[in-house]
Amino acid sequence: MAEVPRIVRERLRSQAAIGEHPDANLLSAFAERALTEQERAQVLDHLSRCAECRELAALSALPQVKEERLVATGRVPAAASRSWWRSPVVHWGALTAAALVVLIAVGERMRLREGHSASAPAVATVSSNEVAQKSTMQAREVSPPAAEPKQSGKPAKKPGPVRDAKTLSAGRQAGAVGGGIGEGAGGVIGGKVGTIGALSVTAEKPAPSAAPPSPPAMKAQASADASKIEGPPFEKDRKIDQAQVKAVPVPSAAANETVEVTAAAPALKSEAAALSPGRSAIRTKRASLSPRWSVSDSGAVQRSFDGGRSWKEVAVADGGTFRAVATVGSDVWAGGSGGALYHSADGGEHWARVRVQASGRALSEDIVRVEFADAQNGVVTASTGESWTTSDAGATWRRQ
Amino acid sequence: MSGSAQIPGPQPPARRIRASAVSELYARSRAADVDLSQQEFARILEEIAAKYLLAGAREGDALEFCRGLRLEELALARACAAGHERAWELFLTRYREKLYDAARSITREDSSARELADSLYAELYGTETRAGRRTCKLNYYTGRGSLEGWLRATLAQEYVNRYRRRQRLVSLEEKTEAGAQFAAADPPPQQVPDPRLVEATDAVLAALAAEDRFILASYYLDGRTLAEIARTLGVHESTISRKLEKVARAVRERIMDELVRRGMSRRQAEEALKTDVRDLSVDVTGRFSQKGGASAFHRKGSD
Repeated sequence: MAEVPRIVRERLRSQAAIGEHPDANLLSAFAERALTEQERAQVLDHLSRCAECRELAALSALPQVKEERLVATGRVPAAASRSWWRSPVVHWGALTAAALVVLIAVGERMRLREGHSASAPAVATVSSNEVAQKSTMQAREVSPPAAEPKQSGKPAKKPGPVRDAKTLSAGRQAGAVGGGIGEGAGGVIGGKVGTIGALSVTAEKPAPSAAPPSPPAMKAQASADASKIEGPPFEKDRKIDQAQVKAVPVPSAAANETVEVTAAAPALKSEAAALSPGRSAIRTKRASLSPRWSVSDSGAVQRSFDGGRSWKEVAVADGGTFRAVATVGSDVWAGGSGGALYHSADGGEHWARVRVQASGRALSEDIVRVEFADAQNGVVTASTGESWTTSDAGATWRRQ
Repeated sequence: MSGSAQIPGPQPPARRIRASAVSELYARSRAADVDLSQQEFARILEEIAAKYLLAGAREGDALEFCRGLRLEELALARACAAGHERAWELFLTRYREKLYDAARSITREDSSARELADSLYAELYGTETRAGRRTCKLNYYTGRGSLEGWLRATLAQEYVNRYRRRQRLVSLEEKTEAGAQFAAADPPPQQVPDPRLVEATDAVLAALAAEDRFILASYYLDGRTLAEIARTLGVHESTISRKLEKVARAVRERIMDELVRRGMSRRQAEEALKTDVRDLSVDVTGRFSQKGGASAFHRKGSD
């Protein structure tokens, strides 16, 4: 952040507060943006000169949850989203799991190069927490007949190499990988870490809550007769089950990074082995991010696909000034001056004006807050403080 | 900070709102559900309108203003203040947990949060009496913002007051035991800056928008984070980040311009604004000089 000269700080400090101190009524109305422009300017002017009142204003500010709703980054589904994933344990777990994936892939490659027989593939079992603590990798022998009946039943159907994808969430909000770690603000990456055959490791995400629907990325999850580890985050004693083979649509969530580990599978005699014997590839790419939404200084609705590092304005309506935006999945709501409320059902591509009216009266004041609990139920708050609620996605409104 | 002080200045005479309009507002407030009469409600509205509106305000303005109030919450708060049982039941159902949550978010610690919230409860209920009348803090709620927001602000005020009170009462021994250290002597007086620099800075700061000044003060004086400032202003953190960067740069440039306008050369102005050594509160000259006149180096032939 840019520094200011010392004299600026000194003169700021020496400014005398003007007017009387705002009381709890004005401070709460200020925090809720319920004051008139003139009153707000007066309060701000006072706050800029009075350290005591600034402290009170900061303590009286709306709780974090509401702020995050106001500046929607996709619906945050559970209270857990702001607590455990910030834990250093989770972060280290994620890093360890990521490192292990790389190690496994490299190890596989070396093993295959050394000409190890494919008849008895080792199964690496990854559990981020356990492994993080023990720094070990469990290995099991899996006998070929038991391995993947589906796979062995129709090996020729797979056009390419057997690919087991491992999706890692390494981003700030994405939580973590492996060991069931990971949940982001914009989506969810829960977690199972599994080990599939001798080939690869699959981290997969059951979305534990309402993650915004996103174009599903189809992830091939080869499960030979492998071990799968699943369980809640931080569960130490992991279950080892039979893995399954299926294509799983993966919510894009807020994952920043996807690491795919592809390895040959000689044990399964799949085409993978035939096409790329002894070869592994580690590929890293950026997964598509759930967009974050906010309103710019100039009142334009803007969207970020990189977690807020860069923002791009989104054309909602000509000449409209916006003050609040909310999202629930691909539904985006933007409210602003003169009671203007716009809705997009396709993630901001197309917008339609929504009339907020009830009993013959339409909302004409500025909208300062838009909150939607789900696609149907929402609340719009005007600068006067009055609230309008809808329970049918904006078709009808009720004034409160 | 006084609890009853207000930004709007002179107290205008109370103004009347048409009976039909009062009926409409009364119905909207559901004051009847909490046993608040229409006359009492009308009196409350007039009192609040008189508090915030200027004397010359028309009836239409007063009505519009009253329509913008949180009428239902206002009726509930005032009915509680009047001691109506049903209102209290409703209040406790709706706000008890919220009050504890707000206290927790302020103190960040469970036991002190409970203590803080309980102390406010006592004041809300009105255990104290003044001139034979029970004083209830809910009488101060005017419906400008939400009742929940008002409770949060009142809690914050109570918290700050308590904290200051405790600070005043803690003895020096306790402070020392707690690890506090006390300065041995006053620091040497700072060098008085060039009056032109002071004037230029004051002029630039005075010309800034109040919000910009608020952001500067919050960040550079109070040490608040971007997220905290953003939360206070109800905007996104990225907005504050951009704004702060812009304002800090602009302030510097404008002060430079002001200094040049006051007769300094560009180089002098830059020199005056340099933040490196001057920003350190270190008496460089004093530090380099040896106490007792001892020389740092031996003089030739002094041995």
